[in-house]
Amino acid sequence: MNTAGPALEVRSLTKNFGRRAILAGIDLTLDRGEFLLLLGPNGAGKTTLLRVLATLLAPTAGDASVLGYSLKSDPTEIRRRIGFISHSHLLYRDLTTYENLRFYGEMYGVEDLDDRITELLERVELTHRRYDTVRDFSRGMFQRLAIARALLHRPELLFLDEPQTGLDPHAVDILDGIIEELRADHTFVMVTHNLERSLELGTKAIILKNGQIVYDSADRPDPAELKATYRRVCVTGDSNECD
Amino acid sequence: MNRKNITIGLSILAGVLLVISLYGIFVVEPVLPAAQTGFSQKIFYWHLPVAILSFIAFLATLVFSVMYLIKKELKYDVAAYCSAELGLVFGVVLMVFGMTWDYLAWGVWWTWDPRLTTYLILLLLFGAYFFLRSMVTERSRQATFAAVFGIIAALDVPVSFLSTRLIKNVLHPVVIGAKDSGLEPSMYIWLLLSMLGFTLLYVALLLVKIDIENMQDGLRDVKDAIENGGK
Amino acid sequence: MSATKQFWAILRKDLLLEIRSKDVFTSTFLFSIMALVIFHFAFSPNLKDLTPVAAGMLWVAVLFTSLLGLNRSFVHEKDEQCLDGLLLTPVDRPVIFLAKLAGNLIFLIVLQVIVVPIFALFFLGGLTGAAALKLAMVLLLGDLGICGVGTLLATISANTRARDLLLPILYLPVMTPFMMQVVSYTNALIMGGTAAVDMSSWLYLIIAFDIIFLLAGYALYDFVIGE
Repeated sequence: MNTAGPALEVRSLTKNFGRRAILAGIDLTLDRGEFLLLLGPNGAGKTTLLRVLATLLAPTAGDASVLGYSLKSDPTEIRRRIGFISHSHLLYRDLTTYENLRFYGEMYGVEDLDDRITELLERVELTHRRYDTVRDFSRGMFQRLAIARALLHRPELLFLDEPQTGLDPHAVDILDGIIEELRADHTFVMVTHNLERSLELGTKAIILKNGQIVYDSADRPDPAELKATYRRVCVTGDSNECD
Repeated sequence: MNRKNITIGLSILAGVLLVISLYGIFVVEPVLPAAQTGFSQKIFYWHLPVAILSFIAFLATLVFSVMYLIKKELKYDVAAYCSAELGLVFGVVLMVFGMTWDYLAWGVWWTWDPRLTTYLILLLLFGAYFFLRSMVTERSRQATFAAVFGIIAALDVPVSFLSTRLIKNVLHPVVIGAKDSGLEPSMYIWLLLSMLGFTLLYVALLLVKIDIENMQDGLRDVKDAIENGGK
Repeated sequence: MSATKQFWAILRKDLLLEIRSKDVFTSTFLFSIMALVIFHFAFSPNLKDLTPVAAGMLWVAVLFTSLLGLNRSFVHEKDEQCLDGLLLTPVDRPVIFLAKLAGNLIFLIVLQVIVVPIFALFFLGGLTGAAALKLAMVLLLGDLGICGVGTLLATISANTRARDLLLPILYLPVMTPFMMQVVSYTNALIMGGTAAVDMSSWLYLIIAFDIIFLLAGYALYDFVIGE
């Protein structure tokens, strides 16, 4: 296992959709064990950056090393080691809870799969729904199962794309609990709109606008400074572009 | 010399060559006796170059598509697209020539002979190519899908030609390559002239078309910028 | 080692989804039977004996039925963006292609096991053992080509604005020359064979098509799935 070096090392990363640059030269370093907050107005490129780092989109130019592996040359090694939670739960509606997790577990080559599934279902409080088709799940249950799905293969680095969106309070509590537990030995990158809630989590924060980093806290962000910058970037005239 | 001048020069040269070839075909060369298909044989001088060029145009699409998938640079996609469009234009002209020839020679407008059929399939394939492009808005995805389909379509063509040959080969005259091609040496000159003329025309049209596409892309960027700025 | 496991995982998942929602199978089955019935009434006014057009009817039915199945093969992945989930796993893209291809192939074969005997009963008055075996072979070769290109094109069309509207437009012209071969071969088979030489050259072309289609699908899949 490649444990030395930073979790993320992004060098002049660019992503174009057609001719339009969505990410215009991102440079970023993140040490292992940190919790990075990714902030910025709508259309700033936050989700795109996350998707590029998670190997779902190929960069147009530049490269990044994720956990010591290059996005361009070693995407499969990266995929083995990252977990991704987005607003879509990425679950098959006509499969049961167990079948969904078993499918993903086999794809990741998880060794002790059945034990792992049992353990995770307990953790997200879905043990009683193990053999139910997920079709009729509530949004919160879907999201809890999505968390279990993302953790199956014991990823070292977790990408969270606005994980709290649309969650009921119970699911938020479970998510917060899991994040708290994993913080010690995991690295997190979280896209969020909710600055208040996430301030206490973040050990580093960046603000993106028009595909560029306009603010990089470098170290644990100073709450007052971060809030002020966030407001300055987001609010143009009367409209707040961050909601 | 800049690109615009090259394009204009090529167009003029192509025009002159084609006019000369027309002169040669209709004024200099005698009408062949009816036994050798008579007057309608004159279609052949333009029919063959157009056929070869539409083939080259589609081949260029294949090459540019492969280049795009390797390099992921949009200029290759633009070139592939423009060449495919020219291939389609030449292809339609070719079908009209072919059908006219069929009619004059055999009294029917349409026969399911191998080459006509292959070309019909080819035109349908590239019709699908353009429809596919119109169904994807995101530019790099559009380019990738078009390139992949372009490659599949191009692979399909030689085999489909072989197929149609195997099914039946009745009507189409095999002119060049046959032992007695029925061509006088002087006829080759006019054929070569029109071939050269059409090749230059293809290159000139391709350059113009690529410029137009690039301008349109630029215009789209400006429009996007205005829309985003106005928000 | 892990690629094989992943292949089976995807295939099993797809088959499970297919079995759970029986609607696709039922609709494609009914569709192909109805197509055969309609063909009968479309041709019977002018033809006493339908054997000369039977091969064509069979393959047109197979081709259009396969369209329905292929279109469905990507629907599960597009719901809830499951495709993202699949692409996030450490799987080589060609493995996804092969698993999807196998799924489509199994679907088509199971369907034909039911429909082709009915077809033979309707139009051929039964088949002899040797001819049935050859028919099964050409059907299998045809299915391979259909699924090779179809899986690739279905992935493309599922990722466009038109979704299922686009697949026939892309798929039918690509398949036309291939259809010429399989129909000619099947026809010769049903009609009791023309010159043996002709039949084997059709067969070679069918196999050539299969190889080209499968290789192209395999090589190009990486580009379409990531976009």
